[in-house]
Amino acid sequence: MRNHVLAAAAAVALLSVNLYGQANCTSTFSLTTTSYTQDFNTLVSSGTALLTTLPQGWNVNYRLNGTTLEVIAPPSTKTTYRAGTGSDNAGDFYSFGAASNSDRAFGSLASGNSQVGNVAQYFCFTNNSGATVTSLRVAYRGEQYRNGGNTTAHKLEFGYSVNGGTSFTPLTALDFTGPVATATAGTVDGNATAVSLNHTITGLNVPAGTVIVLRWVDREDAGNDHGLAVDDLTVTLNPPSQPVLTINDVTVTEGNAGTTNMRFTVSLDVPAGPGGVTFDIATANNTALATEDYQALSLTGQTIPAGTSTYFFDVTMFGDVTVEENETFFVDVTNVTGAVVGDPRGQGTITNDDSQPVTCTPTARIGDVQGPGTLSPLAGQVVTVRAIVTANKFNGFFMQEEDADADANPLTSEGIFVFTGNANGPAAGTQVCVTGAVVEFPASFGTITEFAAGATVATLSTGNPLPAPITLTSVMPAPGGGLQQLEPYEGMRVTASSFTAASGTIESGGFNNATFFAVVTGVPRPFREPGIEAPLGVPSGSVKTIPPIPRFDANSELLRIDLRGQNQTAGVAVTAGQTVTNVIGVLDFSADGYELLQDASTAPVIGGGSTFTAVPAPASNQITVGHMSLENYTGTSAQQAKALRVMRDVLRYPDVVGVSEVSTLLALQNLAAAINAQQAGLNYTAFLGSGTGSQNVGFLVKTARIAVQGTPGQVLASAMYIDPFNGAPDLLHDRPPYVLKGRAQTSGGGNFDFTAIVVHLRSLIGVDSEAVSGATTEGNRVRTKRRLAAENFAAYLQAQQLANPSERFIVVGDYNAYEFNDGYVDVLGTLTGNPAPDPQVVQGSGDLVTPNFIDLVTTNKITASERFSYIFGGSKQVLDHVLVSQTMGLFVSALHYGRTNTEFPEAFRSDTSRPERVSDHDPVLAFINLPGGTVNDVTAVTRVTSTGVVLVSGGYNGFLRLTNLSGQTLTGPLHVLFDTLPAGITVANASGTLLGKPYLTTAGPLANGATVNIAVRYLNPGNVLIQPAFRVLQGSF
Amino acid sequence: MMRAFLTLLAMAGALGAAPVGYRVIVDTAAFAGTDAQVEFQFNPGGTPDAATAEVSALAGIASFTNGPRTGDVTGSNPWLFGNSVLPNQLFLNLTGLGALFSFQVVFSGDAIDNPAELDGTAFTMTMRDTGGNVLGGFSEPSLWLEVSGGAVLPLMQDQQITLSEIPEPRAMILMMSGLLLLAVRRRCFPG
Repeated sequence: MRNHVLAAAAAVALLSVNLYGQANCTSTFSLTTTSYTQDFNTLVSSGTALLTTLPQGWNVNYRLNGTTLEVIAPPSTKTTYRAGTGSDNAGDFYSFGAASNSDRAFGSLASGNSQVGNVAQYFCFTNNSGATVTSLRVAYRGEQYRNGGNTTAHKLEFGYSVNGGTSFTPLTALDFTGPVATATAGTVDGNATAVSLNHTITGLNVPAGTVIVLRWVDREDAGNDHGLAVDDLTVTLNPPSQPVLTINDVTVTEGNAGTTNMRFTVSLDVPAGPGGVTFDIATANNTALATEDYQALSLTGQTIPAGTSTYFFDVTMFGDVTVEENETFFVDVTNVTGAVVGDPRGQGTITNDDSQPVTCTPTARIGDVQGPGTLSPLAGQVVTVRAIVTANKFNGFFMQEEDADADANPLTSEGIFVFTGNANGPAAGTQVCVTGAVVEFPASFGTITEFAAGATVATLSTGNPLPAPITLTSVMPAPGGGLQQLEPYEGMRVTASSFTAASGTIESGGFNNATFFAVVTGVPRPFREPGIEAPLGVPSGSVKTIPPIPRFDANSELLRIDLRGQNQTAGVAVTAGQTVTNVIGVLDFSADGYELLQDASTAPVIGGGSTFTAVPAPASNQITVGHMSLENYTGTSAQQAKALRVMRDVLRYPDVVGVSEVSTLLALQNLAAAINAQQAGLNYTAFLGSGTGSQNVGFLVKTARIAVQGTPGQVLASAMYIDPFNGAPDLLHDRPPYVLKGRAQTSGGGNFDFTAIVVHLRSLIGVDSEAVSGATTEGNRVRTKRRLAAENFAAYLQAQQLANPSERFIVVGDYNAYEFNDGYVDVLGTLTGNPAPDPQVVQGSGDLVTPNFIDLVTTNKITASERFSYIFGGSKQVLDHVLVSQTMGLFVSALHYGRTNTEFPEAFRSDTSRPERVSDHDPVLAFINLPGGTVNDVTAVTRVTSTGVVLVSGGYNGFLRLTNLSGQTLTGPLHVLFDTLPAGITVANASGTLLGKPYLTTAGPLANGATVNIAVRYLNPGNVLIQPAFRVLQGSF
Repeated sequence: MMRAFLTLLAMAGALGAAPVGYRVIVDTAAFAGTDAQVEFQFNPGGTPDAATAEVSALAGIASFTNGPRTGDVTGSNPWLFGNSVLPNQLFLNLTGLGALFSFQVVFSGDAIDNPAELDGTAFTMTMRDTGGNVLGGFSEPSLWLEVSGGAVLPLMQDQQITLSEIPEPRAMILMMSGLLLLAVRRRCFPG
């Protein structure tokens, strides 16, 4: 029986006292009074903080055993908590609250991850009140900040320990169950859904000096957990039987006029008991005076009803513009019934917001500072101006004369920049008085007039209307107008009825959707033009001059628009060709020229589509061969997904595509495999060379249609040059050309053989640099390497075509050069055999290629408006070329760029649902017509001469004399093709045309050394000299 | 003496490897006594090598007058054609054709001096009636000569036309000088 009694007693003890778990009271609060409050507003509102910075007495435990709540040895020590709004699903301890809001709550999100698990937070305090604690009142607000998307409600389980945390007693009355549990995960407004909890624990006997611990356990529940928190905790030792009444202190800013309400709160620590709580209220002067500073208030018989705990009332403040100290008054609560008076006096503080009026005596207007020219007539002088702040940027602010104060000179700007070095300038609309030194700050195209650092800035007034903007038009800025044509508007507010984007939004300062280039709508989007870009001169050390070196005017009709230039936190994605309206802001400058900083308060409006344009579908008798830059392709899932879309949707599965900037063969093989998995029957095979870095070139070949001949591989890999940096030999080709021979079948069963080469030549970066680089300048080093690489590769092409004059070459890739002379090195001219004359280029080259190769982008195989593969600084340009030998050129029908990269915003790069912006270059394809049968080019082993002509009946009659020099009989048919024919001349008796070129056919055969005369009749109404060039083809088309 | 003459003739031939001109004789017996037109053209070939043609020594007609001309044609009897433009064309009005109408055409310039030059400038002649129609029995053109490979070659000619090669002037001068020397020597050393 006795044993039974003891067992029963033990069972009761286990039911009433949870002995599980132990507190981790690393930090203990010494409670020397009878109450403790904590609102957690000292917790961080952003980022993370050390747990050691929690309020004194607050501790946490994690990785708790779900049954015993003992700590399971964590894999590593957790040292921080984080601020959160409830948007985060990660398990952790949180300072919950709105973003960057100081109103915080302390909570947790239990998680199954190895760092968190079941968690608990503790408040450990020592009873240093001097009295034995027999009862303990705990009141707090349970707040939920995240709905984990779990339809099961979760809770914070409350428990307390009166033995220093050795064992805990659960108390469900103080458990907080989160009120929101729906299937839709997301943040919850913890304040709006807060649950007030309070309970008095009785029957205690805790001597002074004992540590008492309050604990909230958050278990790692099934599914995603909710985010729960504790806020506004009040702990009262030996609480009275009645609630404790207090009144708060309030501070408000005075205002310049009218009235402002100051709201006070009378609070009970627990809800009022039956009969409620009554009291009187009365204001009392301190330094603030009734009637003058506030409206006196006296209320009697105010009530906090039973079951509630707060009461609000307002005291009215009077605004004025008198400069005075901060002032205070009191609000006293008296005649309290139904509650014990805790704090009966509240203090109202009226914060002064007035200041001494600022006087401003301008010594100049902004127009005087700017002057009518490019340089300020007051540069170096200290002046005082009065103007309206129009914009803030990261290192200062702009201001502009009030419209009424603007001068009448259209050549002088009314705006100016004030350099402060920070983004904290006066708000737009503030009238300021600025005194400072005027300087000319060097920009890329001249100088910008501004106030130097150290200017004094005084606020005169706020909320002023901004000056009216200047409206830019299609004639200002105009093409050819010069780099400084906008000087009269420097620093002023400008706008236009509409802009047309000349580029996609590009990354700037670490942000996407920040800046783009534009022209005023109606002005054509410009192209890069030949020559050295203004305002640069001929590099140092060169004796040549501009002209005859051509000059590129830098397309001064372009304007850069910065959507985040006025410290905005977000921009807008823009695609080249779209119209952009609602653009208004100050005219700043950037490295590229003038730049409009969009007003922070105005959102641009985008018009027009933003979708890629695919190349046309090839005809059944055509093959497509081209190039695709993959820009630092390492084969990430995002890159591969986008490259797949480009191959399928943009390039329509090309037959041979050279690739550049691919890191490894494995990455390219994986891409080929993914394409083959995406579309059966293509059998793409990957080939890749190996250069000095991770940007390698190679091919993807659709082997279902193209048979690879022999073993592809790179050439010129060991070519060396003397680096002017140090006079030592170095590799000439960082990415050696890669050569692949292919064979397509013609409809007639013949073979169409060709040789494809892919290149990625030395970039233009640094080509104009004057920075010292070893024994030379960086620019000279770059120019030298570009020239020598071009000459070396040109010599290779020449050797190849001389060795086999009938071989069909197609050379694709990123040439990093234009189809014209850039003034430094004429790379494409050298490669095609048409180099710019030496005086027209800093480093000239000789003619190394004969017969010339053809840069297809310069031919009628592509419309002029489509001749670009890249956009730099808003200027369209061709860096990705397709060169063909004369033997291949005959069969090229068209050249097309897939519009999928260069015009699109950088922000698209991470969007795997679309192909755009897998690279910054557009891909290109040449469309090649396959002949009906096997056709041989026998130009090199024959001779065609053209006799003089005779004018007969409105046309010119003559003869073509075809001679066989091959050493053997040429079987027929033989075709003399007019490869070039002066404009205005047609061949009236042509046997047919091939790719638009007329030809005359003779049946053959033609014995070795034999000559056949072929009659020709020209129509030549312009009577121009008839001096055609010929090719001779053998076989049937 | 005969051996010396033949030597000089051979030297002259070596200096003037091909004829640079022709005496052109046109059998117009069917049109004797009538009036007619002759059209000359001298047009460039496939490459821009300079050449000239000089037409002179008209015979077998009662008289001529200059008709329309186009391009690089200057002078009158002789008439000088260049080949810098297209076309170079001259019409002459002929009166009183005889049985044999004849003229002389001589070529010179880079095109004739350079044996490597293969794209020939064309010299053509067409016999026409006074209305501009091709004279009956003749072709258009009636004669087509080509300056090619350092020589002047007939490309086409009607059967009524006979060509007689004219020695190059340099060769002619050299041969005549030699004959003169032979004559002097014979006078100084008779027998």
